[in-house]
Amino acid sequence: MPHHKTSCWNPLLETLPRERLRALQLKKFQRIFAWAYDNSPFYRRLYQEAGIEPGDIKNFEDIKRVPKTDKGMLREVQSRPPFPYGDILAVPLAEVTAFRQTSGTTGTPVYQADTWQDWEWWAECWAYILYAQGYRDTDRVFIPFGYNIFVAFWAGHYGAEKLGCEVVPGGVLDTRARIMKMQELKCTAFMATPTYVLGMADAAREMGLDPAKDLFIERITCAGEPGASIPATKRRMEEVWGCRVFDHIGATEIGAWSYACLQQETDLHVNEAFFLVEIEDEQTGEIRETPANPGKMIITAFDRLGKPCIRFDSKDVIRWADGVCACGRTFRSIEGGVVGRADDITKVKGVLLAPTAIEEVVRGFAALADEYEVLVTKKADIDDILLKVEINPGFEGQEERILAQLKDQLRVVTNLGYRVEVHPHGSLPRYEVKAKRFKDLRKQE
Amino acid sequence: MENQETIIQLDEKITRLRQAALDVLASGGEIEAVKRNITKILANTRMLELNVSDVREAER
Repeated sequence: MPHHKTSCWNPLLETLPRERLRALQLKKFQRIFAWAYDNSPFYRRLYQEAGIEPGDIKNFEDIKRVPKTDKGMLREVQSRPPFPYGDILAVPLAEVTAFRQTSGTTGTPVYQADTWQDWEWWAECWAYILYAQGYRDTDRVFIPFGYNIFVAFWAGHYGAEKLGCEVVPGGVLDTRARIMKMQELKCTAFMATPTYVLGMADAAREMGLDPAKDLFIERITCAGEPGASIPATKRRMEEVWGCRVFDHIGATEIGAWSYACLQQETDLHVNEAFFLVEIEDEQTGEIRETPANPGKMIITAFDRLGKPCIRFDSKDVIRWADGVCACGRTFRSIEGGVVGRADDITKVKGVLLAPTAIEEVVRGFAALADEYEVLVTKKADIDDILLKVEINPGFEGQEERILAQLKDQLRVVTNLGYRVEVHPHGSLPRYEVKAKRFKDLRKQE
Repeated sequence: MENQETIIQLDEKITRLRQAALDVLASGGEIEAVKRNITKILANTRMLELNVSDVREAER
């Protein structure tokens, strides 16, 4: 049996020849556009104001004329009646069966409505992810997640169930209890943010356990932060857990749109049968179809009907990867996952700085602990970057050498100078969900 | 790639599946237990359509 037959959740779509896949994407865009135009007052108003209607979408060039949406618009629409979503829904409120909201990392949380079919679709998206990463019905999957108002790993739970995995919800347990339960049940996989993957390993070691030897984890799927696509962080997680660590990218208002397969290290496939990803040059506004410099992602979820997501400007910065993946999928890949956010990449001392670049350097030092913090301030009109780090036990007396090397590496990678402070091991903030390690305080000053 | 004939046959069976679910809904939709369970069946049927019938759709 060809490899792709066994590694794809649905080889019909995942190996569809490019030409047919693009034809399908166009039809699916036309379908969701017409659905939103006909059923969502918000979208109808948006498109009428732009003078565009369903019959106008005949090719990909026409899609570029469709107005974009962004988080600000979603916040604005939900601030108006009808409560609580505004007039963006394309189904009657009675058909909504699930409420979630965004984490609020970048401002007021956005409310997300899903119908039962939308929720089934979320699980379907995750089934593509997990099957590609080797999950099968023989896996016992632990979900160390608070099962709260954020979508986070809810859909991962149902995606794993869809594959036939045995899913263990590790909801209200604390970290130590979760580790004990994972060990007791011989769980073979789990899902968490990169920060929590590393935090759990720390906790396990404090309990006298070696995660790679005393637990039974064969694969980990990450979400919520870019770490599993940052080589140094991914390596750190794989070494401490002794298994493969995979990334996936998704968002509450979009869906789970991207995943690493078994053949990929830090690139990720885009599920192009379910999503249209466009990469927009931030300077020219042109859509890039070939590997080039990174650009801003504009994304459409083809099949999400309750609260459609059409040409959503996610502010994620991505770039197309070169070449074809050895797995046999015809879905294109993005290189290195989300390499930044348009609203994260900031100018410091006149130089563009992406927080992920700092993470790649810090996590590349075995002597440095997993946690760090970056504070950007302005002192007498001059930008100042303070990096707080912790040094791992066993490296005592080597502080001066480590810091000198760290500063050198940071300068090479980011073209910027840093003040570095060493803090006692375990004293910097620990995060369970989305870490906030980069703090630009200049706007508050 | 699966034989195109197989995809067509699958698509036709999925269409019949949807129709059967809608028939049950039409006959027993007044009963809440029927209506809600058919809603779930239709959601899953939709996933089959996205996975299989759309492949045929790409050809049209």
